[in-house]
Amino acid sequence: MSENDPLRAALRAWTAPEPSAALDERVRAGFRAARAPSAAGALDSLRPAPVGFRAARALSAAGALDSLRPAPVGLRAARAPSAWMRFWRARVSVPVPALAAVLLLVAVVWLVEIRPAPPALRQPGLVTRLEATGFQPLPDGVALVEDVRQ
Amino acid sequence: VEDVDADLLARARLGDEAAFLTLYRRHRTPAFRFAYRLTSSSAAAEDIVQECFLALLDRAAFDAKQGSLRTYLFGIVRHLAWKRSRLLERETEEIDDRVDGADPLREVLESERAGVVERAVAALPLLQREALILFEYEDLSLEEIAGITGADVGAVKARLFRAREALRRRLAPLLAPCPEGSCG
Repeated sequence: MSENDPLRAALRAWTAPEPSAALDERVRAGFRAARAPSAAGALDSLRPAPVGFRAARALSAAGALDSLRPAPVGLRAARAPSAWMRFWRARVSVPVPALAAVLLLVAVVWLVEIRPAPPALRQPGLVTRLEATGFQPLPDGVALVEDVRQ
Repeated sequence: VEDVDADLLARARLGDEAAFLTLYRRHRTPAFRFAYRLTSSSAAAEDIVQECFLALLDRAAFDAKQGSLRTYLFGIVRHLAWKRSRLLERETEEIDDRVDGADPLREVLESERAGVVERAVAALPLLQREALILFEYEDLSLEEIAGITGADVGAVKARLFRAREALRRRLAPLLAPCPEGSCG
């Protein structure tokens, strides 16, 4: 788009205001609050350090600024969350492929090791029951064979 | 310039208020302008700028070898503006209709030219809006915008193209050639 582009000329009609003096005071107060000995650690806990130049992505990925909210005079530093609250608000970023691999591994281990073995199938067949109460063995040679047809 | 910023930032982190204020004054206006144009609100822009410089103070990792502090700050401003935008979108979903539903010619007649441009820019989707603002108002290069937004240069070009096309449609009454002698 050239300098003579009518769109560019139209866009130039919109000017932004200057920042107010009140903002300067807020930022100055915020600096002093952040540098105060009692608050220095509080700000540290609020802002994990992103790495790299692309601040937006880094801050976004780390959730570095999620816990921050605008405050009138930058006194957020005095409101350090407790360790318990930090625990509940803690976030962990896990790459999807790693998560999928872990889930797959857990599933395989469960199938192989933990899953209960299927019950053994009963073979259909005859059941022999013996009732030996009162059984007396015959003495040798006294067996008698009778013909019942007579 | 980058060395000066890096030096000021290092001293500010050690507690040197004068260095911090010098750094702040060097960059507050572009940061505020960008935040204002993204949010269309002075109050929101001031909140964002304050957050931005406090975030810079402690442990935000600025590396002068990878780019200017100005573009680094723009990245933080952008992040904060996006966060605000997401919060607002939960409350209202009519942002994109602010201009389309209106009669552009009537707006030109009834309101200031700047106001019409502001509303037209504000009605752009956020990705297009930030690319346009950084390119047109902050004079950043496509590579710098790509660095700030985390997109590649081709994507930035495409967003700029779409933003311009939308603005040409919406601002058509402003862009029409003036009859001779009638344009101030």
